[in-house]
Amino acid sequence: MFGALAFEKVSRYLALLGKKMEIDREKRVIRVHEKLNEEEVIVEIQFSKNWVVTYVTLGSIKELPDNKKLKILEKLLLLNRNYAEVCFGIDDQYNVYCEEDTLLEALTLDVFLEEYNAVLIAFELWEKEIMPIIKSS
Amino acid sequence: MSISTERLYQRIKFYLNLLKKKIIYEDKEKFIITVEERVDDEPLVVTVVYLPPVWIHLRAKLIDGSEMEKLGGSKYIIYRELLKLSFRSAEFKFAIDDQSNIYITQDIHIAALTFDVFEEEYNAIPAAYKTFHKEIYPEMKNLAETQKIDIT
Repeated sequence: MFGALAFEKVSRYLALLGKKMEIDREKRVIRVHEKLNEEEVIVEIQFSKNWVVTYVTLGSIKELPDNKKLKILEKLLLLNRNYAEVCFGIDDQYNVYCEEDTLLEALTLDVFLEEYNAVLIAFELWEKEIMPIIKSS
Repeated sequence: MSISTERLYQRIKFYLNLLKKKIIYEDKEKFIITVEERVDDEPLVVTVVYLPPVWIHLRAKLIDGSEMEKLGGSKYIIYRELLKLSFRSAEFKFAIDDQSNIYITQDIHIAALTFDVFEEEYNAIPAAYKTFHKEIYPEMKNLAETQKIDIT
């Protein structure tokens, strides 16, 4: 019930912010299309019992050699420390994400927008700080 | 200190007092409060810092960087597990600093600062400490043993 209310609230916030989005009411997922530096970025928003989860998938580092993986993992953890608003994480397949979690009881437009913008900042950090490591020989 | 920043700082201190936390250090100029926690009878120092204008930052050091450095290249396994836990658990955000010290950190935007949110974020710190010692520290010990290194 609480999650349903959050879903409606976030849908409204995104509409007010003029975001281009797809809303899947059945699965309670919202996908927002953003354009950053000429690149399309998809921000996904999911809803659990206590949380609104806003995240962006940044890429995979699975195929990289271990020394590069170490550099990247180290850098992601440093960025977690240096930027209050971002939280990088990885899954078992070495896909890298930036995920922001908002407690349902803290869900207001101001808080949501802060978390939402954080994943966009994370995308820029990924491009600026991580991509050069991936591309380096 | 402007009135609004002082009020916010006092609100954080009020919440810590409501939670009956043991404040062991305070720097009113830098908005830093240090709390001594006990987790499974082990001491854990939690630092709460107000970073004007909008963030309240909570952190606790989990492992000293010197221990991590002993692991050499295999520390990447520990970093990988920390980032996996950060992804899996909504409450946990792990981080390192330039000296490879490992931290659990939480950040609260002032627009979200209520007692309930503060308590939830604060409690995530000892919870992460427990999870770290249950899931990641044994892995560190294994790596150290394999490499015939002592870690504390």
